[in-house]
Amino acid sequence: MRRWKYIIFAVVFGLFYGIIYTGTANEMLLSDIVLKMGFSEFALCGGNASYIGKIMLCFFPSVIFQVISGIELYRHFCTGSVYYFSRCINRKKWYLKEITHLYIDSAVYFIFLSLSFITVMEFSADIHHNFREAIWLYLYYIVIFSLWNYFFSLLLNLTALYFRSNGGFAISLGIQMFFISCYVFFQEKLYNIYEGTTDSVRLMKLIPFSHLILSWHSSNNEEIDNLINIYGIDFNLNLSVILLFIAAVIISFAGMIIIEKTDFILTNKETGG
Amino acid sequence: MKLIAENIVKTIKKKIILDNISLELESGNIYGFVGRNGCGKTMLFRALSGLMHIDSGRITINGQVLHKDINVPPSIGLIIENAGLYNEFSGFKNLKLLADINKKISDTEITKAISDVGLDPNDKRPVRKYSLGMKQRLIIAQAIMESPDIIMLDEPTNALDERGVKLIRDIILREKERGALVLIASHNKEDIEILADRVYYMDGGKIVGDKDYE
Repeated sequence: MRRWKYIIFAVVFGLFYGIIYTGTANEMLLSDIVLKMGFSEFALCGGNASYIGKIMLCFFPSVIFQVISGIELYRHFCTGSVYYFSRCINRKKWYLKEITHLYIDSAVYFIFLSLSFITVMEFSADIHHNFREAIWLYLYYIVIFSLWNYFFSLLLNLTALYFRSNGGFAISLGIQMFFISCYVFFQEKLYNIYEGTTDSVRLMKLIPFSHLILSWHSSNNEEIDNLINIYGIDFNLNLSVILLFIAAVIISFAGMIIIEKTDFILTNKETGG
Repeated sequence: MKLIAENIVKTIKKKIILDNISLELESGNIYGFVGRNGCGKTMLFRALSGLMHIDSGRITINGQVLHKDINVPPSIGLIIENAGLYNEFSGFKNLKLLADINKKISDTEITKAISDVGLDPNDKRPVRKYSLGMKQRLIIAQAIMESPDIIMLDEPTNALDERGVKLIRDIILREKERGALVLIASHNKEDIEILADRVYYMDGGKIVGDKDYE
């Protein structure tokens, strides 16, 4: 049952965004549909603050995933925690099982979101099926987006232990909003001066949100590199995967220490019991 | 089953909550813990059940050191005052959710535990609609349903009417006969006198005395 709610939300959002994009192009490459899901519109769009709203609209499915999964672990520390954890002989094992489920939920959510989006686009435009490139890009999309959402969902769960669920949500979403704002601010600067300068590019790589923009990445595979890397920036897809993976490992490890060592069961922050 | 606490100390916000407590408890006995509010009974149960880390000292259960070899005792039934269940679920679903963690018992045994405490296992109402007495009975059912080796009951007869109190006392005595190690903290002097084989008196986080009952 747990996974069904993710699938339902993912399919609904996929259909919704598919309908929004219907009619935007008569002909498309399959790989372009994947890039659309990877925020291709916002790669060096030269926009301003109004882009924050547009990005947030596209970012909304991620927010919904984080809202749903944001209390998956934390809820066990609220009501019923005493009776739940008195039966948990190995809390480390419990935690590892929970975070594995969390990552699978994240991957499943983005698989279904994208499949339902692709399905709508298949019916609304003439699609050229460049399967080989599209599948590679699709795998990068799933891995990058699922790692990003796993990271922030786990962050939400862990911060909720200290600041309650609404505090955790505010912190997690606040950080992402900050990253998006930084991105919009600096990419505007980059848009004006990208030609011939490396400083701005280096700066952009430091903004975590940049890792979600698939279409300004580069790839070791020439065919894929020709489809993306529209600005000739050296920003390898593998680098984004590795950095997000490291971030996910660090937060998972930190969470294990927090959950193992801290007596959250002493106080129920949600209901005060 | 042997539960040994050696010189356990716990301080919260610079206040000593458990002050050098040592105990040696064996299965087949009921141990009562008596003391006024805030004397440390609930904190002692939290420490002995592994739900709270201690600052110093050692707790062993059959030779296994708590928080070193194990996180919680391998087989424990627990009632902690003010700790609730999942309010949105029915009584059966609550117990099922907890039983699924270790998968030691079947639905039949869950149903039996609910019936034993005088509740209807087929009651579909969410627990938030239960009276205080019904919630207390359900919490007792979760503590005993898996026939645990150790049972820690913090104020088990709270919110119960006279019939409920008698029923729960009978259950506790039955669990003792089964060979469980039972710990009870209660304000109710009668509970302790009727049930306990030995009573520990607590004050200011210390054990200040003990008494054996025939």
